[in-house]
Amino acid sequence: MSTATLDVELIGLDGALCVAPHAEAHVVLRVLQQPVGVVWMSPAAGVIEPAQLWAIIRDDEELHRRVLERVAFAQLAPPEHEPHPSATWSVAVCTRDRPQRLARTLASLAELRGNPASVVVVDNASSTDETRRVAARFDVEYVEEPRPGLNHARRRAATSTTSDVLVYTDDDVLVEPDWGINLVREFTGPRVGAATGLVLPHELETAAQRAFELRGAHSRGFRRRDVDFRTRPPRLAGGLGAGASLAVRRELVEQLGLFDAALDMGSPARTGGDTYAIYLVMRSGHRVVYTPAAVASHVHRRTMAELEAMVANYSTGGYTWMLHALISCGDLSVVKTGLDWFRLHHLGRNWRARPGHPAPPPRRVALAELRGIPRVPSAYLRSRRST
Amino acid sequence: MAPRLSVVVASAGDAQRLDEVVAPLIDEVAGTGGEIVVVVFGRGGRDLRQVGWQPPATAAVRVVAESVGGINAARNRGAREASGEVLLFLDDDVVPEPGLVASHIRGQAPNKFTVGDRRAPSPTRRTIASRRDWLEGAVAWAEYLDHRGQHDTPASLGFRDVTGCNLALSRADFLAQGGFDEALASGLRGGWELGHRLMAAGFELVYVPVARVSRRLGSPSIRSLVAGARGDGMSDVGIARRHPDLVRGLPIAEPVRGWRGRLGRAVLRAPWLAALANVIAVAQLLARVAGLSDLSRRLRDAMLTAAYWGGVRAALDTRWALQEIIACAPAPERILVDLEHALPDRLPVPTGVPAELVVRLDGKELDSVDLPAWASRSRTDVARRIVAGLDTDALARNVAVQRSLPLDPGADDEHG
Repeated sequence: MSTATLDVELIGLDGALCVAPHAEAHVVLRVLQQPVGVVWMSPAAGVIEPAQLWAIIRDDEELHRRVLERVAFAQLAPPEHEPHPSATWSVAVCTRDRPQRLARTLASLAELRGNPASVVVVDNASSTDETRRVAARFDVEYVEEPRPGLNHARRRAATSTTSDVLVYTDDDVLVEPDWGINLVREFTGPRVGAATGLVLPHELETAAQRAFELRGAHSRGFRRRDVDFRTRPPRLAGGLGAGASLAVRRELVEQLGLFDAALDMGSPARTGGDTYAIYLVMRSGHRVVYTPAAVASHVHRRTMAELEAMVANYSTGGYTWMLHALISCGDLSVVKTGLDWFRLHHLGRNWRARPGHPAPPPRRVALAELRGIPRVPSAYLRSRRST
Repeated sequence: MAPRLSVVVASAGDAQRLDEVVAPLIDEVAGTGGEIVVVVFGRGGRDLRQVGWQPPATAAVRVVAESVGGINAARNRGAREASGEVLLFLDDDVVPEPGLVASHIRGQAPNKFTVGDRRAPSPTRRTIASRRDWLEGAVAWAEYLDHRGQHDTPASLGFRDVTGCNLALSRADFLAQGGFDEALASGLRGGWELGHRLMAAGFELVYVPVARVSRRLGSPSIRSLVAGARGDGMSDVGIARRHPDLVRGLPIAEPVRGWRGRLGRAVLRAPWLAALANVIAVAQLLARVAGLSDLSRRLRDAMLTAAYWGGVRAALDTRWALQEIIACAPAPERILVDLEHALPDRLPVPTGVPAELVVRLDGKELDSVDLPAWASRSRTDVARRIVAGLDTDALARNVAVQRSLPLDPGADDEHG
C-alpha cells in the first residue's frame, strides 16, 4: 500500500485535496511555508476537505497552538526582515558509490539560498569514477577521502573549508532552498555549537518506507528547541537530530574531536557518529538548536530487507556510542539512556508487534532491531582496535 | 610599527595554572618583542618559594611578588613593572588561544581599549561528570556575555562587558586612570569598575571576539562558588559607593521577583540568613547525588542568591543604608508591542536594562512579558519570547483579528 505525501499551506487553503488513487495520505501542514505538524489521514473517496484538516487541528491542542504561534510569530518577526547571518557557511555531502542519489541531492543543493561559501562533496573511497563525474556536473568542490568511513569523510570536509559553520547532509537527502540558511541563522552567538533541522519523508511508496516513517524516521518534531547540558542531559542527544541535517561550528570538529572514526557507516559500529557528535557538543557546554524551519527530505529505504538491515545497524550504533561515552568519557548517565531505550523502544516495539495489537509495527522490523544489539560488544572492540 | 605589549598575569600562586597560562603565550609574545610579567599575590606573594613554579628559561618572562594586596593590587603592580606600551591583563584561571596577543594589538587605537572573548572550557573526556557545578557557572557566564558577539547589539556594550581578564589597553592610559580599584572588598568586579571609569573618560570599548581565552576547567568546590557570589555582592556595594550613578546598572538594583527577591530581601533584613547558603549547599549536593537535576539546579540558584545578598549585607554600613539600595531598584521600562505589527529593528531599551513588554491586540492590552536585563534584543528572540508567553486564547484572538489571513474559517466563529 503506498501513501500519498502532501505538503499543505494552511494560509489560503480553500479547495479540496485529491489523494486518489492512494487510500492514505501523509499531510505536512505548513503555515507561511514553515511546517507546523503532520497528520496521517485515510480520506473517504480519496479527497481531503479543508474543514476535515481544521477539525483535526482544533482537536489537537498542541498542533493548534503551533499553528497560532506561527502566525503571531510571523507577524512580529517577518521572515523578509531576518538579518543575514554573520557566520560564513559551507555544505558538506559525504557519499560512497551512490552517484544517482548524489545527483538528486546536488540538484537540490544548487537551489540553496543564502550564498553558501561552497558545497563540498567528499567521495569516501568509491569503487568507481562515477561520483567524480556526477560532481563535475555541478558547481561543487570535489575532494576524496580514501579511508572508508562516514566520519573520516565528515572530518575531511571540515579540513576542506574555512567557513565558520559546516552544514552536513547525506546523499539520500533533498533539501529545501532555505534549509541551509535557516540552520546557520541559529548560530547567533559563540555558545551555539550545533543546529539540526527537520527531516521529512521524500516519498512513502512502499511498505518499508511507510514502516520506517511510522517508526519515527528522522523527524524530531515541529517545535523549535534550544538546549544545553543544563536543560537537557547530553545523553539524550539522539532526540535532537541526525546527520542528514546537521550544522556544526567548524572549529569544534577539531577541538572536541567530533566525528570519531570509531563510529558510523564504514566502521564496525555502523551508525551513531552523528549522535555522539551532538553529545560531545552538549557536554562541552555549547548550545544545540533544533529548528523545524530548516526542512530536508530523506529518501527512505524501499525494501524491507534494506530497512531491516538499517534498523539493526541503528541498534548497534546506538548502543555502541553509549558504550563509547561510558568508557571514554566516564559518563555513567548513558547507562540509564541505554536501559530506557532497550525497555521502551526495543522491548516495547516487540511487545506491540505481537498478534492482536491494534496497530502493530512490522514484526520483522521489530526483531531486526533486536538483532543489532548482540553485535555491540564486538562492534565496540573492533572499532577501537581499528582506530 | 606595532606597539610593544606586556602581558600581566595575576596569580594566586598555583604552579600548574601558571604553566597553562604562560606556556602558550611565550612564542607569540617573544615574536612581537613583548614580555610576560607574572605577579603572584596572596600567600605565594609573601614567599615566592612556596609557589614552586619554575618560570620558563626566557628573558620574556618575569616573576614579581605582591605581598600585600589582592588581585587588583597585583594587576596594578604588574602594570607598573611592565615596560610595554600596551598592557594585556590575564588571570591564571584561563588558557590563552593562538593569536590572542596579535588580535589585541590589532584592536588598539587612541582612546580605545579592547576586551576579548572568554569561553567555557571544551573538555571532551571524563571531566564534565565530576565538575558539573563549576561548568554550569562557566557556561552561565559565557551566556551572559553572549550578547557581545551578536551583530545586532554592538552599540549597547556597557561597563558590565568589561572583564579584568583578557582586557588590553595603553599602559599610559591605564596609569593615568589610576588602574584597578584596590579598595574593592573582594577584589572581584575590578573590570566593571575600571571599565566604567574608562568609558566615563571617553574611551571606547572594542570587543574583539577572536582574542580568545578558554576558562581553565576549575575545581568543583562549592565553597569557592559561594565565596565568589558573596564576593560579587561585597564588590557591588563597593562600586555603588564609589559611583552612585552606577547603582541602576548593578545586580543589587535589578528588580528581583519571585522567590529570589523574597530570599534576597530576607537575607538583607536578617544577616544570619546568609548562612542558609551553606545549608542549601548541602541540600544541593544531596539532590545532585540523588540524580534530581532540576531540584539541584534550583537549590544551586538559591545558594548563590543567598550568598550574594549575604555579601551585600556584610559590606553595608551606616553610610549606605539598606533602604537606599532597595529604593534604587528601577521599575522595568514598559514597551508597548502591538501583536498585529512587526517589532521594530531595535527595541528602544538597550541590553542591560530590564523591560516589561506590554502586548496589545486590537487596541486592547492582552498580556505582559518580562524581558530580563541581559536577554537578547534581536527581533527574532523577542518575538519568540512574546509568543511563548501568550496563552492559546490570546493567540487565537490574534489570528481572528488578522482577517487578512484566510486562516481557519472556523476561528472567526469562535472568537469573532
